[in-house]
Amino acid sequence: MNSTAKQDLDPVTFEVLKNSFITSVDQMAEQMLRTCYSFVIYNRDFSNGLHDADGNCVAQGNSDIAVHVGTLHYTCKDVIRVFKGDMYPGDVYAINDPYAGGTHFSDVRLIRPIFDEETLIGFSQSNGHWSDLGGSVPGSFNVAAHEMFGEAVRITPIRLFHKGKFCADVANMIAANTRDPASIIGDIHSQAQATQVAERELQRLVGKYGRDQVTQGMGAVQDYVERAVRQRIADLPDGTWEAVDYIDRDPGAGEGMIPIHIKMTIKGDQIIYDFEGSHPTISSIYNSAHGATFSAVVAGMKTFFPDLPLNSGFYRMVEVKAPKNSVVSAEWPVAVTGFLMPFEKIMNAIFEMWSKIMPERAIACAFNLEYLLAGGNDLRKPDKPIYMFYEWLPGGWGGRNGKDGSDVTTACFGTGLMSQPSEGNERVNPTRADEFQIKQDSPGPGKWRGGAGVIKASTLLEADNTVMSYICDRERAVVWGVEGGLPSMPHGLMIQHADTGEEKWLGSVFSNYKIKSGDKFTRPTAGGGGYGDPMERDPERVLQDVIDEYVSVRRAELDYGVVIKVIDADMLEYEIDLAATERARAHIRANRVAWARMDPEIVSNMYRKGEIDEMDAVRKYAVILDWGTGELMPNSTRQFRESFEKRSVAHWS
Amino acid sequence: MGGTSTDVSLTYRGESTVTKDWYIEYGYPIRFPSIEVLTIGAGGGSLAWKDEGGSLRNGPQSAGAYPGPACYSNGNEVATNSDANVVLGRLGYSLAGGDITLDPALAEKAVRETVAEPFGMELHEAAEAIIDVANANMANAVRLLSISRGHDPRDFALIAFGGAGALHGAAVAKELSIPVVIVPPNPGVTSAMGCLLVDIQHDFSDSFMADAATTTADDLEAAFSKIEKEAVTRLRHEGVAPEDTVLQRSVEMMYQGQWRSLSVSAPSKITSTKDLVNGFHNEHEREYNFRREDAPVSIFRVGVKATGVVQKAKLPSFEVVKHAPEPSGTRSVWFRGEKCEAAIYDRAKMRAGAEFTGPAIVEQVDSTVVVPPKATAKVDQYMNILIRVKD
Repeated sequence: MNSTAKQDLDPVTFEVLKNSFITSVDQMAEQMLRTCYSFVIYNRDFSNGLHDADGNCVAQGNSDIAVHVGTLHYTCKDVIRVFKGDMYPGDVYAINDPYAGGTHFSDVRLIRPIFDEETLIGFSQSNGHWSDLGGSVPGSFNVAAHEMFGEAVRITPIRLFHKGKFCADVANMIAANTRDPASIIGDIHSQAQATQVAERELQRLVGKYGRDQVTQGMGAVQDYVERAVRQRIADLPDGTWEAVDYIDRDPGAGEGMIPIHIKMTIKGDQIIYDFEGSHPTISSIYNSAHGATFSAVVAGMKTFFPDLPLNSGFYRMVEVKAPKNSVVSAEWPVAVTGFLMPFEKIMNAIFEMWSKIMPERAIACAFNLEYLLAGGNDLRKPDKPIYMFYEWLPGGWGGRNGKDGSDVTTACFGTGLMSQPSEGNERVNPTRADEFQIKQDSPGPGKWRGGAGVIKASTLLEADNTVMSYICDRERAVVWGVEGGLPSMPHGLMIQHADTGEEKWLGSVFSNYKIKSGDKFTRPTAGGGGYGDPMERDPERVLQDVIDEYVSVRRAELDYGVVIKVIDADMLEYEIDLAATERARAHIRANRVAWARMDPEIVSNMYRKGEIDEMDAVRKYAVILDWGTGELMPNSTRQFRESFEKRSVAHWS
Repeated sequence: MGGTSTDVSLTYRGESTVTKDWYIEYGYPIRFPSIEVLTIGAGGGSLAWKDEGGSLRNGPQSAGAYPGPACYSNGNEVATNSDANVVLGRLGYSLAGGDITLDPALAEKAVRETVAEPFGMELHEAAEAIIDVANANMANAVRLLSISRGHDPRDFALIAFGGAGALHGAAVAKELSIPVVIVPPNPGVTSAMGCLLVDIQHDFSDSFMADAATTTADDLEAAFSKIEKEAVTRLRHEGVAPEDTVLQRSVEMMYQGQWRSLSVSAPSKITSTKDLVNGFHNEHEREYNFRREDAPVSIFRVGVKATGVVQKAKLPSFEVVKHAPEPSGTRSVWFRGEKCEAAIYDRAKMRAGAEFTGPAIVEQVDSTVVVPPKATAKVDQYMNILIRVKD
């Protein structure tokens, strides 16, 4: 196929329609931001879409988050399956079903059929992350669930507005199953009216260009994206690329990381992603159903095609294969609320494969998304209402070819998300932010270092019955470097109990952990992995990072072999000791392969004695430990070392 | 519309819209209030191009001031909006009172090679396509600031300024069903003139988080008088006399549980909280198409806009005497695929009360005004040209 293929619409009408479709979706987003109730939606965890009469995606918004990409058409088609022949102007339907192509239960989609007179011409869809969907844990992230029955309310397609009339009975029943009924009803209205914005716009276009041209345009914009992507893929060499990334563990099995294998084959203008070799579903919520896995593939790939609009045309040349009931192809009723864990592994693996194809856009691994959820009663208020604390932090993205990674950025699954304002959180939850700053030494070292993560510490104020859950990963499958770059650091949460003064490492995943007023919880986010050999980083750049306090003087020497003399830290006066730097770099180069292959038990002992810290363990010795006790994780270490050998050691000269 | 970009802003009932969510460059958000201006990459120097999908695009890349459009003869060979306007006869060959000479042959060559040949179009068809895409991009920007806020463009006029604004204004207005285009006397220096005409303004606000149902008029009066005192002190300090001070109150409210608030203007003497709440329901319905009479309303913030009215330069006003102006000549101009003979007028010689019909071109030192066929134009007492766009 070539790019001059004849379009039926004249180019101007086509361009006008293409932009108008996207604009109409952006207008939905804008209205949703201004009317939403969920704190999660307010922080931009939402997406909108415009669909043709068959449910195919015509346009998504410009600032939608990556994770909803490639899933909206599935849920629209499922609504059509259920209501076909029974749809009317003024109807609005809802669905949150991950087994029908949705993401997780928290993402509730409201879908409105759009008519021109009596004829159905398309759909608008608004997807928002509600504050709570019931289940046994506030915020509906029950890490311990094995099946959906312990997670949340599953909404298969239902009717929420019938010919413009609000179906209060159905809406109230949904709301009554949540911890936050008033805000759920509010968000239903907010999203239903957001879909009305696109309806108004599409009808305006029909008034101007006629129904035929508009519906033709809805198809033409998909063909256009398909043509553009196929052309670019056809220009790439055919071939096969492979990558493996890991989830930390299966809580129901022994120690050892959970592999996700991806083989990507480019053949002509077609791409096949095959997940053969990926682990079977695991006994936590860290599984992904087919829709979310498809979305991860598209989101990862879209990073390398940033300029094209997103619609179903993009999906036509992508084929995804997965073994039945694997961690990336879970089926009902396997729990999938934590699908973002496999999702980000897939995205990063795709980054790695595409980095080989487009080295100018190459990028190392990004930090892992993390959600901290707590819920209980807020004793600051007279009626002691239930509160739901739901917080995520930004972290570092991977180092790039010729550029350091992006510092303090939201997780790669949700690039449109905001970093949450502490003030907003403190207003609705009995918590106080004690510390929130860039985490020194978090960037994975490399010729181009990873971006920096952050550290945040908070204290629980006047509250009762509070339980906390942490949804994170890469405590063991630590953020990796590429092309000789080094890993960042393990994720995980530390709690300090007010009554006993005891400090306890809780790691990257736990749920329903009881905490009390005065308890202080602290967690870092990792930086991005490094790109290229840190021994090749210009010492002047290391010096600049020391001045900026991104890197400590101590780690400048350990990770980069750059010896820096402090003249006056307050005045930011430092000096590179060139002779010592040359010696330190020679010493590291001569020994680093042996360090990375040292007996892991010896490393475990050094860690227990306090001679080394977790950054030394992963960056220098490539060993994974229980970061609380120092106990060796032999299987995880073996897997981590395999990755380290391939991604780091093999590239050192 | 200038050389590289177009800035769009909306003024409703004499007030500019203000935003607390803007950025100078993407990724660097700014959260203090500013007049809402949406900037897109559509200027006289914006480049036309064809992407891999075979679609015609316009901007945001620009030939800039140098080398500028192909017709500037400085080496750029890619078609720009200015080149398309030259090909269509809308832009004359001599600009800025003769300081810049345009080469129509280079403009033609660029349009031919960049667009006409790749898309299999005639020369003038291609030039019009370039302009149409630019106009569509501008219209979408206007739409984002207008229709998406619940405003009906039929209630507005489009003020076209910047060096290239009046070349495109009538077409953009038509696209959006805006009935009238206003071209000020000196469109190229409007921004500079604006600086001479604005009042001093300060925004004061205070958090006021309360349930509207339990808030009395006195509570609000107390909150307002505190910030009004600050406001008056500030203006006095800047030398504004009491008689030149204007205070406008507003209350930001939301349905309990919502995250964003909506500003509703408040009277200078609050007598009832209920009236304010009703005002909020109405404003919420106007902006977002729904209201929740049964849901509790929260007050979030009180604000005062304190204006120090400064003495304005007096704009010259002339007696309007209806007449048909004398064209300085005619030339061939293309509209909708047809070549027309358009009257050419010299803006410097225009007088108040002049009335004429398109197709016409008005030339002046800092701009060129296009009046499309069937549109009517007249010059008002301030020497604005009012173009009434017709279908």
